[in-house]
Amino acid sequence: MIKVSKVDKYFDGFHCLKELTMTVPTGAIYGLVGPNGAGKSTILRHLSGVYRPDAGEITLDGEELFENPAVKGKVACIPDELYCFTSASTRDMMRFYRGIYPNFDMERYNALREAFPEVDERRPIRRLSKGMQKQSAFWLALCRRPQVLLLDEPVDGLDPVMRRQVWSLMLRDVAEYGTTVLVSSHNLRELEDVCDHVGILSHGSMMIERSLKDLQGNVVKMQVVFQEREAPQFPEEMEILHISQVGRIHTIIIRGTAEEVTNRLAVYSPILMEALPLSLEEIFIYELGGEQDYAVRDIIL
Amino acid sequence: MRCETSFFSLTLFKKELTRYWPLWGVWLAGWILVLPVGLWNSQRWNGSASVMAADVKTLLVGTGPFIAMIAPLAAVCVFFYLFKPAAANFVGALPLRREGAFATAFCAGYVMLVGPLVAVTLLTLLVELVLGAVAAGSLFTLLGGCLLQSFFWFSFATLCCVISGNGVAAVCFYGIFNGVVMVMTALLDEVLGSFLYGFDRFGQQVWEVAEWFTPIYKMSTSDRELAGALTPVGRMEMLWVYAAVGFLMFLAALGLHHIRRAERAGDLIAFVPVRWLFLVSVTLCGGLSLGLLLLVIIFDARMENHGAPLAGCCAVAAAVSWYVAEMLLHKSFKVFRKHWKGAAVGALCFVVAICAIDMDWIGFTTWIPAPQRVERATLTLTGDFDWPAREGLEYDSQSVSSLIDLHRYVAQHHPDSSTPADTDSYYVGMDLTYDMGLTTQRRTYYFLCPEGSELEALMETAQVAGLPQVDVDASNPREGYVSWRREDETEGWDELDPAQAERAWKAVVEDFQAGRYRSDPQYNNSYQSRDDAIELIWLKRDERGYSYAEDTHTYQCSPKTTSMNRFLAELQAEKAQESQEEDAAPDTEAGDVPPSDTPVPQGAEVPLAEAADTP
Repeated sequence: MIKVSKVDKYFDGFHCLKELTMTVPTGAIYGLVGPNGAGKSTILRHLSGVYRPDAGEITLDGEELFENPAVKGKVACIPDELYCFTSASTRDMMRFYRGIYPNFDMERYNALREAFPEVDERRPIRRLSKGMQKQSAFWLALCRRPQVLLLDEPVDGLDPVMRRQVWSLMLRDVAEYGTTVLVSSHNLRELEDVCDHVGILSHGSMMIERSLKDLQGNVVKMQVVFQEREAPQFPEEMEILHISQVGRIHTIIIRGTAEEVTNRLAVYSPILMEALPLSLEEIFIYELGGEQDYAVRDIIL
Repeated sequence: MRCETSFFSLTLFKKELTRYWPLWGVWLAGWILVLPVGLWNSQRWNGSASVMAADVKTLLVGTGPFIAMIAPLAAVCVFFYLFKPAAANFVGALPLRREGAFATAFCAGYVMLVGPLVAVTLLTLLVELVLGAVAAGSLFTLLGGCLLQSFFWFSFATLCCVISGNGVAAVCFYGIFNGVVMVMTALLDEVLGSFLYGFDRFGQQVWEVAEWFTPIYKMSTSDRELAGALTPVGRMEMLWVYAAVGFLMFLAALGLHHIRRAERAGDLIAFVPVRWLFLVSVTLCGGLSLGLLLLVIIFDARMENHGAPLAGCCAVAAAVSWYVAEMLLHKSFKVFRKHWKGAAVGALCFVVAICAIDMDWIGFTTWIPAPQRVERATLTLTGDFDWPAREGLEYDSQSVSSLIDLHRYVAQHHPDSSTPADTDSYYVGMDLTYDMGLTTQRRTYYFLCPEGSELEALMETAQVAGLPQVDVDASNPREGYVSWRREDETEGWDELDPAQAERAWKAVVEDFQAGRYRSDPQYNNSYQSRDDAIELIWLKRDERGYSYAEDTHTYQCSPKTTSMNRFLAELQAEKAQESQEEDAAPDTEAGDVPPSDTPVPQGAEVPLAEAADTP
């Protein structure tokens, strides 16, 4: 289990992470979402042992991660900006990782060759296309048999078929070896398909962190037609995240379970009322829309 | 886990070496051409161990600059992860401790430098064996020297790389640190010498310290110059000193690397306190050097009496330097509004500092020591005057008052040092040193002295007081010669028999005891002569009867030396009488000619009766 406790990070006086606390259960596929500049890549670099937190603690299975080679050896990271030695091919990097990572699995490397047939393992990685470079990175990362896989915008640049292929490989690892996957992405529809836990970061701190099921069950989208054209005045205790109107149909995003919300709206005797599930993207938008300075809110809506 | 307890990663080490093979390959090829191939070509026809040893030793002097050039390249290569964020993330995520990454990179870089040297040494030994002229001692001395130099230069370059987060900047810092102390010392010497009246230019000790802080210069110094230094160390000793400094740099780099933040990769300076140091240093160096350059370009090549323009030029240069430093740190040209305060403070500091020097706020120029505090003092007078230059005139607490009078006059009146308008003035260079127990104060002045002025009188008094006392008991007067040369260019010489020599010495002692003059040991027993001197030369004869000058004593001749002048007048009269008697005798030749093997001064006799009458 990855545990991040009250981590602070400053960059030249800018408070990038503010007492960030998060927990990633073992074997979970954890989606880390948040607006640009929320601190997603920063926390991933902390988790890969690159950055030292200014305050707080980061542990993997109870062991400190920073400057702990034994723990870092269990972690594989695919950053948003890939790096490899100048003119090094996939095979060169494989040899390097084989000497560095104790769990490097040569058999898996050979087996995965079929999964990434387009990647020429003898060609310098820098000469490969962006998608190929990503494939090479996945190939090398999966061969390390990591207990924790950290992915920053992992499928960016991959074609749909390869995306499915890559996710399929990772999900198999999760199923077979209990690998924990922490993935940061803006592709919320994709995360919705694979993640079982979600954390929403905003301004360096964790806004919401729970399982996707809980998250989706806690916010509901109601489409309601009231008897009057205008919507009635709702009491303040009803946590309405957003309300819009098209013709006589009111769309209300409201916090609570579908049953609970339906019962509360029933008192207004609507002509028509229907509860719809929210997608992760909608939850992301409406949850962050509650923040006063999140400018995307108005643009999107 | 293999990396858990290890502070070294063999995989990373091998990767570094294989990645940068072109670098050490070129280094190896160069050494092969210089050593085994060069020796083979030059020595195969007349190979001898001594000649080969000389060749190898010469190489040791010349290797410093080359190692100094290759070392930063090697450091930038192996510490690649300090300069690129992506590389920093890559290496930072590897299961390695930071110390492990550092040690691995350092070893790889050092091996790149010295591996080829070791290989070439062995190859050269083989060549020497083939040539039959083995100079193994010299060869391994060369190898040892190169290993020490490499360690120093590579540690130096490593420290620069760790401090900086940019490869180009690290190499620039490396180059700048190599020369900044010498340049700043020269600039400071120039400014203080030009604006601080009486400032004694930096002495040899200061320059030698500056040389030690300029390793590229120091290591390129020839053995002969090394031997003549104030801290006389041999080449190998010097290299050991630098290697020890290199070890300290290595430790510093290791410590800094440990606390270095990975996110600083790509920054010009990786540490916040060093950023401030960088800002201040750039402002100081830029302000002084650019300020002087501006002054010379805009105003005049001569800096004297340009205090206000210099302050202005340095202030502008300091502000510009501050902004440039901020631009480099922030990688942006838009720094003018945000950082104007720093630029203003930098400029103000320069104005204040130059005003302090020019207006002598610290009282350096007007400082005159209290006579009772001076334990010992020395004076050296040089210049294009008629009377002789005096070096190292010494004063004790009793006799120093005349020197202080002279010093006070010069410090208060600031005698003109510009081109003389007439021929009645002459240049004087005056160096003063006051030893006051715990401290030593030095002053140097250059000025014009009008003839017959109060200043000239003070100088004469001071130099007479500084001449050593006559050692009354030291002389052993016997037959010899006396010669004289006066300011009015009258000169002459005469033989002295033992009785006359006794009388001459007695005159010297009388004048000395009456305080009328002192001895001038600078010319004793030397072939130099002075323009206003009386020389007493005591002769000694060998077993064959030939005489030679055993002992000479030189004394200042002036109208005040009445006893000596009287003696010379009497001697003149006696000699004239003897000459008349000899002229009267038909068999006697006119005039005596001194023996050819005696050091006889040239010059015609002059009457001394006038001098004898002088009170």
